[in-house]
Amino acid sequence: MAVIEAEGLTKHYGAVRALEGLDLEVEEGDVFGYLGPNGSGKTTTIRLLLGLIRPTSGRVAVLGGDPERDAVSIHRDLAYVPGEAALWPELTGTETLHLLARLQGTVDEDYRTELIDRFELDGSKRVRAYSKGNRQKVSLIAALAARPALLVLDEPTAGLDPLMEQVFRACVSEAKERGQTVFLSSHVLAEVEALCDRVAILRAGRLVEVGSLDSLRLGSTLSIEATFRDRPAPDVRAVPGVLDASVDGRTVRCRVDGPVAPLLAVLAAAGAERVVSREPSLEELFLTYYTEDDVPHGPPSGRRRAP
Amino acid sequence: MSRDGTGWAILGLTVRRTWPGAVATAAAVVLVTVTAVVGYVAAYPDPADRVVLAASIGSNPGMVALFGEPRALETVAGFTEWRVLLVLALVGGVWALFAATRTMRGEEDAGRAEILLAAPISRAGVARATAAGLAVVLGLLTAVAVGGLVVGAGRELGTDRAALLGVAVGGIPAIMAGVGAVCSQLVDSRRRAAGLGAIVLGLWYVVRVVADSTPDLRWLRWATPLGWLELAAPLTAPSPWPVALTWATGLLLGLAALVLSRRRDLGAGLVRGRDDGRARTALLASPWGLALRLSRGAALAWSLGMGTFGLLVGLVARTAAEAMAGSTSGSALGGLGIADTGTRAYVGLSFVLATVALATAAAGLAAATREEEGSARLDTILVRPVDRARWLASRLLAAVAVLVLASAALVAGIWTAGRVGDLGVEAGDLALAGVNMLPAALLVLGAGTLVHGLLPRRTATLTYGGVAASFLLEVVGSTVDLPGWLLGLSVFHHVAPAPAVDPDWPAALVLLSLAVVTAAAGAVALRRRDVEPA
Repeated sequence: MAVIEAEGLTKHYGAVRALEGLDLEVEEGDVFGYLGPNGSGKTTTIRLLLGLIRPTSGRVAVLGGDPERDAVSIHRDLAYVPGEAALWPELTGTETLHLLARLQGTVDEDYRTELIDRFELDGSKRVRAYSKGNRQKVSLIAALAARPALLVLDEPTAGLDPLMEQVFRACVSEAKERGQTVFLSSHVLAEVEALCDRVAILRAGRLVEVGSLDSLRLGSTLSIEATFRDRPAPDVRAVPGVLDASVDGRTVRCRVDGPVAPLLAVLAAAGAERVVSREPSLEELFLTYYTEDDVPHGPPSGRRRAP
Repeated sequence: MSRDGTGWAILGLTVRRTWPGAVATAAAVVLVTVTAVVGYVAAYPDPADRVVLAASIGSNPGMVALFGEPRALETVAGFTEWRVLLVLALVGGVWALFAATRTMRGEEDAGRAEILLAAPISRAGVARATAAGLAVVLGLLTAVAVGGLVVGAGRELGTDRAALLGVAVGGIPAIMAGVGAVCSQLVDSRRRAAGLGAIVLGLWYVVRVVADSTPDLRWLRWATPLGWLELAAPLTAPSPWPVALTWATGLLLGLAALVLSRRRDLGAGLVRGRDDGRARTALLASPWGLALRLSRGAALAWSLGMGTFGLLVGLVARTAAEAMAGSTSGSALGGLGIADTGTRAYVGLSFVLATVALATAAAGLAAATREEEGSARLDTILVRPVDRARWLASRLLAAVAVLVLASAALVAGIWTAGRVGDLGVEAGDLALAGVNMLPAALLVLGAGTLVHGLLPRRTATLTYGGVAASFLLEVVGSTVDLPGWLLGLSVFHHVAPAPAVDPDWPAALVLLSLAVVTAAAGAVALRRRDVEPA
C-alpha cells in the first residue's frame, strides 16, 4: 500500500513556483530520503503532506486520506519533526512532552522514558533555557514515542551533536524494523545513505530523480583510476562513454557514463597494472544534480532514469 | 555605529518600520486638539455658559481625577489643555512602548537578530543604531505634531503655546520609548517587555490620579511624568522645565537601556525567571487547557490592573460624593457628552475608560493568538489530531475568560472601595455596568479573529489600530458634531456609560452578535487558508 501518493502536486505562492507537478509514491515500510538544495520545495512538500497548506493543483493522499479534509484522522497515525521545533518557552521539557502526548492521543510511555534516557534530555528545564539541539530532542522524542505509522522528518538532526545523531539513526532503524514508514528530508547525506531505501531528488520545485540508491548509482557515472608501471598511459578520450579524462604521469583518471567494457578493453590492451573503480557517493550524485545549471528536467545527458 | 554603514542600515530599517505609526500618532494629536478647539468655540459661544461649565467641571473631583485638574476652563486654551493633554500623552505613550519593544526586542524573539549580528556590527552597535532610529522617529512625531498644531490651532491658542503643547505631548512617547527600551533588556520576550512597560505607564496614571484627588497631594505630581505634563501647563501657564524634564528622562532611559544591553545575553533578559521547575501538567491535556495555561499571565496582569483602577475609582468616587453633596450644578455639560456631573456620571465615565482598556486587552489577546501561528507553535499543534477550528475556539474561550475576569476585578475593586463610604451606586448596578463593558471588548476580539483569518500578518496592527481609531473618534466626537454614521463606526460609541445611565442592552446585543459573526467568519477563513508562520 502506498502511504504517500502524490499526483501532479503543485504549489505556487504568487509568481513563485514552490513545487511543480510532483509525482511521488512512498510505500509502506519504506525509509524514504527526500533531498534537494535550499528552496527546492522540500518543506513545501511536507507542509502539503501535513495539510498545513493547500495545493494550487494536483492531489496528494497520505495514509489513504486527503491531508486537509482528513487532517485529524491522518494525524492520529502520523508524527512530524520540523527542522526547528517551535515550542512554548515557559513550559518545561517534561510538561511539553506531556502536552504533546496528550494532543497526539497515543504514546508508548515506556519507550518515551527510554528515549529521554537515550537522548540524555533533562526534562526539568524550561524550553527557553534549552539549546536548539535540546529543543530538537524534545520534538524527536515526542514524535518517536507516539510510534506512528508514518514519521515525517524535516531535517530532524539540525543542532544535534554527532553522538545524538547516532542515537537518532538507531531510533529510525528501530522504527523501520517495526514496519513504520519514514519520510526523511535531510541535508546530511551520510544519514540518508545510511538509513534510506529510496531517495528522491528535488530541484527548483521539480523532481529530478527518484529511485533506490543502487539504481541511482547504476544510472550514474563510475570513477576509474588506472595505473601503468612501465608503459605510457594510453589516450582514452576517444573511448565511448569516457568523460573528464586526465593523465597524471603513469595514472589515468576518468569517469565513465554507461557500459564500462570498451574502456576496460582499451586499458587491458595497454597493459594496465592496477584498475580501481569507485561508485559515486550520494554526495557526488547529489552534487551532479545540483551543479548542472541548465537541466530543468531529468538527469544529465546519457543517464538512464532509474525505475 | 560601525565603520561600513551597517549601523546606518539598521537605523534606516528602524525608521522605516516605525515612521508610519509616528506620523499617524502625530496626526491624531493635531486632529484631536483642533477639534477640541473648534468644538468648544461652537458649543459655548457665550461667556456665561463657559463660566458655568468651568464651575461644574472644576467642582467635580471625579472629572479632575480622570482627566487632570482643569485650569481656566472658561477659555479655549484652558478647556483644550484639560481635554486633550492626558489622552494624547497616553495614546502616544502606548504607541511608543510598542514601537520600542518591537524594534529593541522583537527581532530577537523572531530569531532575526542573529542575521543582523552576522553583519560586521556588535550587539551594542545594533542596540545603539536601533535606539538612534527610534530617536529620529520621535523627533519626526514631535515635528509633525508641532507643525500641525501651529498651523491648525496657532491662531486660537497662540503659536508658541501650540508649539509647546506639541513638544510636551511628544515628551511622553519619548519617555515610554525609553521605558520600552529598558524593559526590553530586563525581561526575555517582547510581550513581557511591553507588559512591564504598560504596568509602569498604568502606575504613573494612578499616581497622577492620587495627586489630583486632593490639593494636599499635589506634590506627588513630581513623581509621575503624566504629572509633569500638568506642571508644564503648555496652554495656560507655560513652563518649559517640566517639558525638558520629560525629554531628558527619555534620553536617560534610552542611554540606560544601551548600558544594560551590554550586560545580558542574546535572547535573555537581565531578570531571569527560574529556568527549571516541577512539571505541572494538570492543564496540559488539551488545546483548551494549553490556551488557559498560556493565558495565566494576561489574566493576572489585567485583573490586577483593572482591580487597582477599580479601587482608585471607588475611593475617588467617595471623595467626590462627599464634595458634591448638596451641589446641583451640572446642566451646562450637554454638548460635551457628559450628561451629569454627579458620582454616577463619574463612575460611568470610569467604566467607559475601562472599556477602552478592556478592548485593548482584547486586541492583545487576538494578536497573541496570531503570534502562536507566527511563531510556528501552531504547526506543533496542528500536525497532531487537532482541528483548526477547535484550536481557535480554545484560544477564544480562554480570551473571553481573561476579559470576564478583568471586568469582574474592576467591579470588585470599585465595590470594595465604595463600601467604605456611601458611593450611591448599588452593587447590582455595578455588576451590570461590568457586564455592559464586555460586548465591545468581545467585538474587538471577534474582529481581531477575522483579521487573523484574512490577513494574519496584519492582526496586531489592524486590531490595535482599530481600537485606537475608535477611541480617538469618540474623543473627537465628544467635542465637535460628527455625522452619526461616522461616530457609529467607533465601537465605544455603542457603550452606554453605565451606571450613570442604564446599559443599552439592544446595542450590546448587536455588538455581541457582531462579535460572534466576525469570530465565526475568522474561523472559516482560517480553515480555508494556508497556515502562515512569519
